[in-house]
Amino acid sequence: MKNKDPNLHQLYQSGNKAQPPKNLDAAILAHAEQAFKPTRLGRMRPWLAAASVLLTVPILWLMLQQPELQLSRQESLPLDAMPSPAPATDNPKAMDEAQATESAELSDYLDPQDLESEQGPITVTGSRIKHQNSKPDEVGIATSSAAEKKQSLPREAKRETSKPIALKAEPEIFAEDSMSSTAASYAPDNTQIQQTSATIAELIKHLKPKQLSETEQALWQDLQQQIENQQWHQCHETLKQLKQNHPALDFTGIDKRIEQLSKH
Amino acid sequence: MNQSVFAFHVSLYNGLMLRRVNRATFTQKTDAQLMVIYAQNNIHSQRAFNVLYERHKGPLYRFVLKSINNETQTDELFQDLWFRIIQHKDNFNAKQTFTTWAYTIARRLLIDYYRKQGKRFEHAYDDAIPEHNDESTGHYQLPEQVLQQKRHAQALHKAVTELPPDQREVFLMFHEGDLTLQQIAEITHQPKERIKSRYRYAVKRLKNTLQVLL
Repeated sequence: MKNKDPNLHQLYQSGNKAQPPKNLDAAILAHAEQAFKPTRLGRMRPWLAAASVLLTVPILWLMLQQPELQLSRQESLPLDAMPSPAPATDNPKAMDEAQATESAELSDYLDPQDLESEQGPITVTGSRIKHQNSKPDEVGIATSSAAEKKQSLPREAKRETSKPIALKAEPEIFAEDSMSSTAASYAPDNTQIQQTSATIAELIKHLKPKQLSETEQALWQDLQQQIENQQWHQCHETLKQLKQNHPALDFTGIDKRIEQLSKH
Repeated sequence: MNQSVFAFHVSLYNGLMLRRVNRATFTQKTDAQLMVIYAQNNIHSQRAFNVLYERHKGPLYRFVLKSINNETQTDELFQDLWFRIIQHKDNFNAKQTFTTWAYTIARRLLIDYYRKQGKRFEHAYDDAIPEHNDESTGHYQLPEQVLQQKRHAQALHKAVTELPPDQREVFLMFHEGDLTLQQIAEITHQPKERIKSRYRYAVKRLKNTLQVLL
């Protein structure tokens, strides 16, 4: 059916002259013109895109070439202000001041609730453990001179009073580095014992000759185990045997420490 | 002095001739070519759109008007229809005809309109008779003949508005849009045979109505 009914079509077309109003024509043509104008500006899009790529690629390249810039951006300000553990252990006052400033900075940035929740984990984090780890070395050196020992003990006491959670980390630390991680080391006055026993370990290390026979080696190991197990009487006997085997060595330091420990 | 006046006249004449040539070339172009020119966004785009609009504004307006029989709503829908054509000019596929594309958009708008009115397209009857600006056909006719033809035309238009929407749609697209039945089938997503039968029913119904009225 390609052909229309001619009579019907003619009749239909005869009275079929309705046209849209003039104002509607004007509005549509104006809209068409407006739609045309912005797209004319849009012809610059490829050039703008190319220009933006030309700008961004060198910037990205520069950023990739300098990774330290990226690292410095990633680090936040409070972390930058945090002192490193090594210098802080050398100077206890500076360490305390740094901790104070650190906590002040954290309190500036965090809510009180957040700060409380943050303080708990901080005391048992790796940084704190690391900080505590440096203590045996420090104490071992300190015990060599009596004056420094006096300084180290109040410092330790101060830490215990200011941050009691640090106590929880201490047995673990000495369990790794020293031989006195027994139940006695958890006593309230265990810090001094731990320091002394740590010193014994250091002294044994210093005194112990490098070349030893099997029996001598066994005696030294027995001594270490006996100190670890706090078998002081057996310690004295083993020491006597060691003195006989190594008459050139001076065992007075170890003797004194064992005596101190046996009194406790 | 005379030479400058002569040069001015020559340039004016050339400009007018060029404008005439451009206008002639644009009017000779097909709808699809004009739409492509408009979508290209060059200096000829606006002129191409003007020609396209002049060519199709009447049929599209009447199609919308006779579909909904409401002049105010027709103006809104007609404006919306052309705005959509403008907005989606880049989506026009030159392989299809402009009329198919435009009537597809118009049909979707009408379906949306019916939905807003709370009617389904298949049951959207509106008995309101549109008031048209009827004009003479231009042929020399006796006043009695003119009057009679006017009456017949009015009766036909009334009968068209009273057709069921699916038949009215096919009739209007066939007579207003000059679309083929195949194109109407594409637009309405119906088989061609169904469109053909709808048109037959529409013509039969119109003739019956006209016999009763006249």
